Amino acid sequence: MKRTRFLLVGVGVALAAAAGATLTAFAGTSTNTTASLTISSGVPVERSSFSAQDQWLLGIIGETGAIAKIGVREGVSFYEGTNEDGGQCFMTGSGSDGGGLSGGCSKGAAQLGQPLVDMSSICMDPANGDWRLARIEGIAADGISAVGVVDTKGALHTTPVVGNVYKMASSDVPTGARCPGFEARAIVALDDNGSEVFTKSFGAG
Amino acid sequence: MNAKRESARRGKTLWRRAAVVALVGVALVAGASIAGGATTNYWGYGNLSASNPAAGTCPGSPAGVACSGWAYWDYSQVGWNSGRSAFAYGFICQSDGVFWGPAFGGSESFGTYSALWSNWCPSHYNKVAVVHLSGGGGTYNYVQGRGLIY
Repeated sequence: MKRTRFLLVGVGVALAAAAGATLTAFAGTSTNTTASLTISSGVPVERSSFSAQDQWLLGIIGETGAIAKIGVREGVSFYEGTNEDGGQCFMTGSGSDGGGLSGGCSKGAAQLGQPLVDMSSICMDPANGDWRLARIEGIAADGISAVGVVDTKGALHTTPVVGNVYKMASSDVPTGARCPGFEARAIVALDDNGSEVFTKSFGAG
Repeated sequence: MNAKRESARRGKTLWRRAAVVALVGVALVAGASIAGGATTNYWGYGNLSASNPAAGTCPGSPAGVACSGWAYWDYSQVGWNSGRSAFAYGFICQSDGVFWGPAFGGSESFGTYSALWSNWCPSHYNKVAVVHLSGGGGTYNYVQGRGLIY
């Protein structure tokens, strides 16, 4: 079992954590943040097990360290790695073999300080800018049991976190004329008590 | 007699060296094509916001959308250096005519992020794009939009 430690870097978040304070939620700011966040799931994956193109991508994004597959959900594989500066990298693979990687690495030695590495996607009509949150997926730290979408009417639509990863089934995502998805205001992380502990805000949508 | 043998030996040695040089050259070219790929910076670095780039910068799109031309882009990539607004990067897929791509709320770590076309577009022909979204803790992001061909 691998344990990945998420270190807090945001000055405000770090100060709040040190003081044991609770931050008021706004865009992407965690509430009741603890000093360390971990991901317990994951097994090592050899770089050579990826295709030449995937290995090329890993080089492009700066991923140079060990790679772990955190889990698979709804056909998507979720990976974690490191770059040469010690920063964290997160990738997804949508291929049946776990390949077909997309992802990126944080700059420098910065470590993520949020309980979600949310990799959700939007669908947008490029003619008018109207968009929907069409895919809800990502990696969640230990203690996060569900991830939800808050729509513009304030309704919460959740999907469970299983083995530190989440992906809402496409059958749970609303269909649309041009784009499927939620008219989303935010993505939230819920703890075991169903309390919102993190908010990623998109505004009014 | 010895001079002839010595001349022949030198000739063989030169041919061997030439063959080695040629093989190394071929290997280098092959290696370059494997490790290569082309990156096109189609926009930025610049402040991606509700008003920038201006409407029509990406043809037919409102302000806050930057895109490349049509091509068989393999990856859409964004370099994100600063700013804390919500935004997305990805593809305008020719097959369905809409933009698809990962969305940031603005609080994530700055860095370089890449998306593979087949995870979002039904077919390969696409534009790569970055789009400003309302929300987040700021009003802009300082980004560069890139298209990659493997």
